[in-house]
Amino acid sequence: MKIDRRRMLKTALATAALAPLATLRTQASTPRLATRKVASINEHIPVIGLGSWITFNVGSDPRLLNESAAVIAAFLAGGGRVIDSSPMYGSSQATIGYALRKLGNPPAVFSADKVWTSQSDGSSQIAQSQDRWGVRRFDLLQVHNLLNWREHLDTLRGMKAAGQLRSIGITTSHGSRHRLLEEIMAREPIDFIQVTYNIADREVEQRILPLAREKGISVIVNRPFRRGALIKELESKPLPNWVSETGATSWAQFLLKFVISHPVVTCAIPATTRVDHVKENLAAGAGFLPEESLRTRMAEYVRRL
Amino acid sequence: MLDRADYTLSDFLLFSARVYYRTLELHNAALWPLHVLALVAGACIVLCLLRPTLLGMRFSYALLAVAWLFVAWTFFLDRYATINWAAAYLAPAIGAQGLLLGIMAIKLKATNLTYSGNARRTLAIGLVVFSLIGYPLLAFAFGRPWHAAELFGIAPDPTATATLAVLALGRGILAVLAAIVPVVWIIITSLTLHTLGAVDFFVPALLALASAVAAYAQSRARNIISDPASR
Repeated sequence: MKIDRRRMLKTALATAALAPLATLRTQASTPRLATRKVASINEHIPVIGLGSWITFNVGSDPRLLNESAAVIAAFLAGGGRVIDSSPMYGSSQATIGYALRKLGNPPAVFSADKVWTSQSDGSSQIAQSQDRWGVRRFDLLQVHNLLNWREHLDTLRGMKAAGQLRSIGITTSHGSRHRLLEEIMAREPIDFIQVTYNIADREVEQRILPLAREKGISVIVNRPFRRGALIKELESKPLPNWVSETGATSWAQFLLKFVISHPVVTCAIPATTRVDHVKENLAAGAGFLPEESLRTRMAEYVRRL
Repeated sequence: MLDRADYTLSDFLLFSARVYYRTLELHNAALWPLHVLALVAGACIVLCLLRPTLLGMRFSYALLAVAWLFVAWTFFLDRYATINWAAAYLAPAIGAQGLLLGIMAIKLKATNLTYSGNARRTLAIGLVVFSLIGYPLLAFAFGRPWHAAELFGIAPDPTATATLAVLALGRGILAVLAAIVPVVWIIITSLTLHTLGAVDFFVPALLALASAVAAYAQSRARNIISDPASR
C-alpha cells in the first residue's frame, strides 16, 4: 500500500481523536475508592482512612519520620482523606504534622483527632493538637474512650457552634462500655462514633450500628485487623476458593471489605507503616463490596478456620 | 479460633519494637563518646568491689548516683519521653534514685557493708562486670544493630542491674530503699521487652534475681572492710 501524506495525516488525526476514549476506558477499568456520606456535614468521605496508633509514634527519628511521610503521601495519592490520631498516641500527631507540611498541607485531608484528658477543660490540649497537626481547624474531634465525655462534649459543641470545628464524635474500643456509648448516642447530638468492628468482633452489629443508622450518626471503625492479630492468625490459612466473588485478593482486603461493606459503616481506619500495605488497604475500598449474604459467608468461613 | 478482643499488654504499649530500638540507636549516637567515660566509671566500681575500702565504696555509690541522674535526664526526659509520655513521669523517680545513692555515698559506714563469703562477693562483682560488658553484647547475640547496644550509665537496664549487684553487698534500710526503683524498673522493662517480642526480655530479671541471691542467701555476715577510720 502506498503511504502518502494525505493518508498519514488522516491516520494521525483519527488516532488523536480516539486517544481520550482510550483514557476513559482505562479510568473506567480502575475502580475508584468508594465514599460514604457524612450526613451532619453533607460531605462524602472515602471508606478507607488511616489510623496512627503505634505506627506513627516514631519520636524525632528523621528516618522514621520520612518513612511515615511516605505512607501518608501514598495514602493521599491513592484517594484517601481521613487520618485519625490522638494525644494518647505519643508523637503520632507530630509525625502527621511533619508529613502534611512536607506534602504542602494538602487540602483534601479530613483531619480526625481526639480530646483525651481527665481535666474538665480540654481546650488547651486541643490547641496543642492543632499545633502539632499544623491545622487551623479539625474536621472531626472525638472524645477519646469516653474519658470525661460530658465536659468534653460541651467543649466540642461550643467549638462547633463557633465554627472552630466541623464535627464532633465519641470513641471506644475493644468492645468496651457499649452500654454507655448507646446512652450517649441516644441522648446527645453527635456526628460520629468510633468503635471496634471486624470479622471477629461483631458486637456492634446488634445495637450500636442500628442506633447509628437511626440517629444519622456516621461510624468510623478502629481495629479492623485487631491491630494485626487477625492477619497474623489467618495469613497461613487459605483464602476461600470463592474469594474472587468478594473482590478481595488478600486476607487484609478480605477483612477490610467485610467491615466497610456494612451499610452503616462510614470509614475504617487501618494503621500501617508500609506504603505497599496502605495501597493494598485502599484497593479494598474500591470496586465490589459484598452484600449481606456474601458477608455472612465470609464471617462463617473465618469462624470455621 | 478468634476469641473476644479483650485488652492485652500490647494495647498499653505506645510504640513498636522498630521504634524502641531506633530510639536506643539515636540515644547512643547523640551521647557518643560518653560511653567510654561510662565504661571507665563502671570499671572503677568493679575495682572498688575487688579491693573494698569504705572510701572506695562511697566512691562507687557516688558513681552510681551520677549514672542514675544522667540516665534520668538524657534517656527518660530527653529521649524515651518522645515515644512514651509515661517516661516523663518516671524521670523524677529515676532522678530520686540518683539522689538517694548520693546520700548513701555520703552517709555510708563500714557497718552498712557486708561480705558474706567469697562466692557471693564474686557473684556480685560478676553481675556488675556482666552489666558493663555482657549487656551491650546482647545486641549482637540477638541480632539487633550494634548501635542499639545498651551500656551502663547510658541506658537504664544495665544501670539498674549493676546497681542491684552493688546494693547486694550493702545492708541497712538505705540499701533496701535504694533497691526499690531498680527493681520496679526491671519489672517494667521486662514486661515492655516481652510485649515487644524481645527474645532476651528475661535477662534484666534474671540478673536482678541473681543479685537478690547474693544479698539474701546468708543472713549471718562478717564486716571485712579494712578501714581503721570506720572502727
